Amino acid sequence: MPININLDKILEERGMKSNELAEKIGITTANLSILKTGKAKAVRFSTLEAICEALDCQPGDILEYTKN
Amino acid sequence: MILGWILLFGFLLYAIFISPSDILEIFRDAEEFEIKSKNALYTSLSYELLSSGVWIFILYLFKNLMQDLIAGPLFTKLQIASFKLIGQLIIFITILNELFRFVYKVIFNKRIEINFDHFNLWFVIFGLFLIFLSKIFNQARIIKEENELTV
Repeated sequence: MPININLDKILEERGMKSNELAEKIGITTANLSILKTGKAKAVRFSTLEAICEALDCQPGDILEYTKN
Repeated sequence: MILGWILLFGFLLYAIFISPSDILEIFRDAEEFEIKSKNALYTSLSYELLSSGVWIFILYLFKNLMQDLIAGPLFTKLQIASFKLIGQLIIFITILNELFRFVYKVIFNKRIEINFDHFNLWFVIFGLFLIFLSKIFNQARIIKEENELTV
């Protein structure tokens, strides 16, 4: 998919673990893993908002578009 | 139905290996086909065996499909494939039945006759409905998958 998720990079920069973030934003680690691995078909605005709030970043920092 | 199939198979074996005239006597008054020769008897019995075999297979698939629909989750690949296959088989066997009747009359009764009295249009419609249902199930599976992969 041409949309890349840079969640791993941001998590590393913030020094936060995946399960910690999952707990903070109220989703399961399995769902967070789906998001991180790029298997997700869609992301809810509410989830994106919660991630941005927890990691203190912008949606553009997490999502990146690359041409095929 | 399975008993009927076994009975037909028994008739065919009896006709081939023991006495075709006994079986010919049984079918002499058959309304659907005029069975007057040994070859006609073998052909009609073999066709009926094939046709009823396909119907038994359709019923077996239908039973498996019903079990899966009741017990398992909806919109699985098995259900989609089963609906499609059952629909295709029903249409195939209905059309084949009509073709067989036509060819049989041409070869054994020496007459060309197109008669749609026995053609069951409802079977074809039911088959098409099942194929349509498999397409709906396939669409539903895609939507379900998308829904499950929405974070």
